[in-house]
Amino acid sequence: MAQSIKNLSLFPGDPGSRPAGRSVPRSPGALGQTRESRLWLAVCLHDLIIEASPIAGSRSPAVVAHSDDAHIAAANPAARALGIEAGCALDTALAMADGLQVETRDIPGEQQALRSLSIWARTLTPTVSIVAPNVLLLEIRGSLKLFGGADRIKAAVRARLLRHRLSARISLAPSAQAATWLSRHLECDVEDERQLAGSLRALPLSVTDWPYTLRARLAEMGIRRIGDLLRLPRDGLALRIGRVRVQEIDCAMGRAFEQRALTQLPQRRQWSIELPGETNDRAMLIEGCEVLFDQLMDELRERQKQISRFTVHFSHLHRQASQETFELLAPTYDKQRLLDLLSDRLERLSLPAPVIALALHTGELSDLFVDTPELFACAEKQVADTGMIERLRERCGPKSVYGIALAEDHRPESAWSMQFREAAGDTVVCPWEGERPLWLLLQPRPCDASNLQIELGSERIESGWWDGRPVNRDYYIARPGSGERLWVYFDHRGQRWYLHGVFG
Amino acid sequence: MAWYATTSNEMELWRAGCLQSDWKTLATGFPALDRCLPGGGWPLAAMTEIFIDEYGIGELGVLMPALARRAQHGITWIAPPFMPYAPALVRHGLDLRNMLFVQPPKAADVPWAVEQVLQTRVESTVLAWLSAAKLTTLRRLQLKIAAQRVWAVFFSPLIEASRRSPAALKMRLSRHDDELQIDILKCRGGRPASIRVAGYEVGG
Repeated sequence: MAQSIKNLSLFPGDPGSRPAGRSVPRSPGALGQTRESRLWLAVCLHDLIIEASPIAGSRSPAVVAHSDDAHIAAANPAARALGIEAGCALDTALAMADGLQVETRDIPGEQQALRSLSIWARTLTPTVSIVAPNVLLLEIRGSLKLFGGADRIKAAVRARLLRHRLSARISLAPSAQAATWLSRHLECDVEDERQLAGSLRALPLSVTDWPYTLRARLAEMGIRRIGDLLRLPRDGLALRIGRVRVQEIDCAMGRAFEQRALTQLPQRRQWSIELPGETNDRAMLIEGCEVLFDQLMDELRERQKQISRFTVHFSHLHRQASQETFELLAPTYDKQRLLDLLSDRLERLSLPAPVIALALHTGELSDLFVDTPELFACAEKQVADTGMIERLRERCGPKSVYGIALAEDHRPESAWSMQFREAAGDTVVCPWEGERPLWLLLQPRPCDASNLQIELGSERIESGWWDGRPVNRDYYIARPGSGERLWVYFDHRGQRWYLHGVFG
Repeated sequence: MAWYATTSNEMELWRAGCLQSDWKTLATGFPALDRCLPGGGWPLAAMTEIFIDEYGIGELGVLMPALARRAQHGITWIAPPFMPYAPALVRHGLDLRNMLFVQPPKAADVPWAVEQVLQTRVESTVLAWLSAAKLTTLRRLQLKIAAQRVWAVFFSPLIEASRRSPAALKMRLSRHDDELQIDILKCRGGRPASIRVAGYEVGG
């Protein structure tokens, strides 16, 4: 403990930084134990700008341009062969290549791709971090044993990238900063901290995300590689490039402790898909949604979550998007159940216009909780029942499917209640004694008592003065002449006769 | 005769001779009525149709004793004309916990709702109020009812009593003063009959 305090006091200045890991340069033994426990895998999606744009896979010359200024953000190999590079003006590029395809950069699309990769990466390690604009960092020391080595993890990452048609450079290093820098330039594995300085030395300054003007200034001074920086006196360097950047170099060399924001998994997710063309065809819409549901299910499975609410947005050309919200009775991870609900809804739904794109927005995801029931068959039945109730509600309306329960009240209309969710089966003691009809009219109907033949009476019900719905009634069982028996009452408050029930 | 054998298996043709073996019934609770029904009660796993002109003449009361004994498998009420009153149901011995009510907004949705319930709730009880149901619809429902072993009771207006129907039991209910008249119009494995039940036995 005393030793580390001594180390702290040796560090020159900068109260804002965290110098905990600072030690004598190139003495890996000093804090070996703490740093030994980290191994960072950096995945640099170097062609993300092109791969997230419509020109991905195009063989003819094509470029992606920044939307704000007319400069090229990235060029595909065919365009590069003609001499078009990132950073050159769009006009110049158009002059250099005939029929150059130009697309605007889709930054949200790039972020989305990186983000979904980071969410997937949580299956490999809990420590995942995004370095804008195109690097993903995974701390894999703890996962090495489980997956059987760094190569296996890299293979898993590559398989995923291949599936999503993304290309990347993957590098390994004991510090996150070093791994990031390495991956921006080449693929290399540095597992030993002692090799770190040697590997970083050769990297050009373009691996840093420092401003272009600063790098140009350094280049004028003859500093083109990281190694050139390392040779300079530390204080002078701090004056020229800023203390923060010196700190960055320290982190990369494994000399300083680095803090990194971990990616938080979003509580709500969304996916979207463009349909091949405008369509009103139900089968095509369902097919499109199924693709989205597949993505949802993958995520639910990976994160051990389930879903209880979702919205499907239908985009139309030249119109505002319409949306449909689905509330589930109980959380689920069952794709078929979602599809059933959707196809039921689409069957009755008339969309205002043909649909061009679909988007799925989830409500908050809840933790997967698998009940271990005493009797398996019973649980299965319960699930089937839930699905049936959802389908019925979908078509008939949420208020049209319900159970009933008793309530402790003298007023006949309050002696029962509709149950829209499964309730605990409390035993209610019914306070009434008189005969009750099997059919009840939800709204008592005024009736003419003159042709009623009173058979049995009367039962006085006077109650409810405390909650604003007082009743003061005399109930009778009466016959209207024909066969049935009616339950009628005389309302003392309104001085009228009402029909309230029929004896079934 | 090969074609005949396949048809009879696939189409669930009913042959009078082989019927009685798996004929399950549930006592109605009214001995006079039981005596008129083959097997001595309501045919389970089959469709029963009850035709009435007015509600409240005892059409529910006549079912109550049997319903009380079937409640544990779940009872689904589809499109009842009024609200079945919970306190009265409890007094008849029914368990409210497995009861489900469905009120389709359109009459055309009633057979669909019945089908949904039939598909899911095996060996349950379904009470549905139909009007102007088509024969093809009823046939489809009947197949499901038999496959899922559901006791299904459908109520229809009296004017439809003469239409064709795949029901195993068709009866007409009417009230005569203090008595409930039950006319068995059609009864698989039995004969048409008429009986009267005292009103106080079925009245609410």
